[in-house]
Amino acid sequence: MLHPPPPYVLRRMTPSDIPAVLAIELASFPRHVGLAFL
Amino acid sequence: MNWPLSHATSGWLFFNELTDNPLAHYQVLARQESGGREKIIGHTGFWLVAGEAHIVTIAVAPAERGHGLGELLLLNLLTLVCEVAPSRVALEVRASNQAAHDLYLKYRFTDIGRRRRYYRDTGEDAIVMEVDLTAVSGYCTWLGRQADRLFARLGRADLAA
Repeated sequence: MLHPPPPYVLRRMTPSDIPAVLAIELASFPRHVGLAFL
Repeated sequence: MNWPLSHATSGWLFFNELTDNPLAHYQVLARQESGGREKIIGHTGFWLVAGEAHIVTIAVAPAERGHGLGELLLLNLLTLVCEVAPSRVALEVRASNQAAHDLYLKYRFTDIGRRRRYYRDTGEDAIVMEVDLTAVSGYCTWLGRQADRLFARLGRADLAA
């Protein structure tokens, strides 16, 4: 995992991140549709 | 809104990916805010199947775009892929998403095909892109140099904020 300069942090996604992730997916529609391959 | 999957279904898919799919690898980009709080501003995911990586998702919150954070997420993903040394990395990108297509070209992806009406929401075509890590000499070392350059840019932007 890369370590970008503050204030940015990269880390593994956890289940508690899902609401924030879905908010980004929804805000990005229709430009981006996550997991569309499923 | 012609959302292809309900919010609950999408949430369940992500939960399943994180907890029950050993092939799946997901990351988030967060910004540390005052009081030690963290705000999620982007995410990525890929599958590792038979030594090949398939990028499933890359997204940056709309308000955060234009600052190199999508590139940071892609760079991080490709760096993680390099650590397990697969032969190829593939993805699909909307035909209209020129900014994303240009970013993938920068990282040595090439167009290898087109999936007609791939996106169910708009019926838009997907461009299939791929980079063969075994065919690009020193690719993972080159990624490190790209990361150094991007980190310098992000650091300067933060100082100016």
